[in-house]
Amino acid sequence: MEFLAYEFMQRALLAGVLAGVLCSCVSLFVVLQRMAFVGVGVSHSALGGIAIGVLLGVNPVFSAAVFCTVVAWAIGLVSKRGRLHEDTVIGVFFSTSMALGIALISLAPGYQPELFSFLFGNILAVTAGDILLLAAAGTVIILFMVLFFKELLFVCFDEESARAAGIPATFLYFGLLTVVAVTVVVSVKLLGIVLASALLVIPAMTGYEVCRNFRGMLVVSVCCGVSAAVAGLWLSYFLNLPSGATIVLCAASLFFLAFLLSPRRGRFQRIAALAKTRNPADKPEAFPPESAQPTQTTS
Amino acid sequence: MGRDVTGTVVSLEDVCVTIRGIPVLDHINLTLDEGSFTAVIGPNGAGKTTLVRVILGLVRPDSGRVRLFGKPPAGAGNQKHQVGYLPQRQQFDQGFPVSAHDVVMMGRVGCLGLFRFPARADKDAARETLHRIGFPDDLTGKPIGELSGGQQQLVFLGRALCSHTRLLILDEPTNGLDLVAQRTFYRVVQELQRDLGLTILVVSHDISALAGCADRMVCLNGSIYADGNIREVLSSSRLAEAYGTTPLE
Repeated sequence: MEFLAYEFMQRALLAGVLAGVLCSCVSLFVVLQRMAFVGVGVSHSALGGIAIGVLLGVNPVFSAAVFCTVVAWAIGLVSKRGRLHEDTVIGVFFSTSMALGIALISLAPGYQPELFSFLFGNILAVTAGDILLLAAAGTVIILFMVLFFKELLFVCFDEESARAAGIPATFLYFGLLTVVAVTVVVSVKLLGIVLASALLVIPAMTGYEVCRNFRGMLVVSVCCGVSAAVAGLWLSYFLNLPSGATIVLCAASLFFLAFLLSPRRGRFQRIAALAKTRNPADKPEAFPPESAQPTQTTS
Repeated sequence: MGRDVTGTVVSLEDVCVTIRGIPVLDHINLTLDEGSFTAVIGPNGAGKTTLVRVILGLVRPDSGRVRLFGKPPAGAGNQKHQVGYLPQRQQFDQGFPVSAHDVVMMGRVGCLGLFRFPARADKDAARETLHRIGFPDDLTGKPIGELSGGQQQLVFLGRALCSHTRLLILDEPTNGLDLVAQRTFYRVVQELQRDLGLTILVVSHDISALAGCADRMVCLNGSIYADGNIREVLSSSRLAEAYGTTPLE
């Protein structure tokens, strides 16, 4: 474990594990509520929030958190009340926010290296303060999901029946949008605006491919998120690759493995059956032995 | 226990609903007495589902007064879980990772309330409900998407019943089911009404299936065209008026 000898690597590993756990837990509801594109839209809109922070001289993480939450709520409000499809609304808001970000960045004087670290992420540059922020936000978010777990599951499965039973579905929907926005913002410094939404989808989708129950799906999701963070960081160190991209590639590899061997799709069973037929000992006879063939009758 | 003193579970007085400028319900007056089995029939677009959604508090009427257990539906609060609702056969995600037992457990969410976790008693109640509706024990752990249409409807019925239910609202419950599954479904509903004394409201096109089990029929097409016992409604000339033809032909 030579690479852990460096303090910045220790911080990066801790941040990666925390982000892996947080994103994987949130990804369960992102996938079940079919909000994957919301995650993509909100993460890209973070550029607008970061640019506002840089221009106003406030902490870009804080300004991005506020901005992303506003964008997420606006997506929710317009798609729920405006009778527009959610993907259309996201398409409008995310491109507008990015355009705003680019326009504002051009107004900021001089070169802005901080902006590039947010755009592509740099897990090796995380500070103790970033880890504390990640841990604090993660604790609040996971507490929210634990407290409302049964209600969130009901709303994801059948919103109308949940509303009829008196479940505050609107509150939970906007709560989930806020959770997605905050998770994206605290992960942006690690993975970057472009890749932050990946960990909000891939871990739970890996769990979905492997498990037929949400409990198993959550466990596999967390295992996928954490192992992708650890393996990605380790590989990025040895192969000298960008850490954020390597983490996402590790998570995607786990997903494709799960997809290929998914019991849902029966591919593994088909592969096993194919292997069995290639083994001459187990090969079923294409034709019954001659003696067993019925005698042909002529009419 | 929050029960209306007159034994009326639901009452609608002069209720009007307009959706996107189109009048859907026009001066509806309807009461459901405790223990009654009411069937609401009507052609497509008659406002049957809107009527159900008004009772549940999911649609706010433009005018009129709605009472659920003697209170406005939005204010029924902790009594809302006493309403079991089976929406129109859902096009839900067949891969949603929940078992039949998990779906029935969702019925306990309303009566458990916020910040409380299901206990063993809740799991037992879900198991007992599945047993009561005759759902096979060996299928309770099976993913909901792997069950047949009839079995799925039974599971959703179980969810609607699993919360100390007093009023059961079924919206087109047998749509898309074959004849055997339809008969099984309505037999189970009739047994539940007899054994538990539930108040039942069924909205359906299927007049022949309902005629065998409901004790009251309401014919709706924007407004109420006929209301009475099955024989009266089926022989009413207003029925043909509501449908534009005789619906049994």
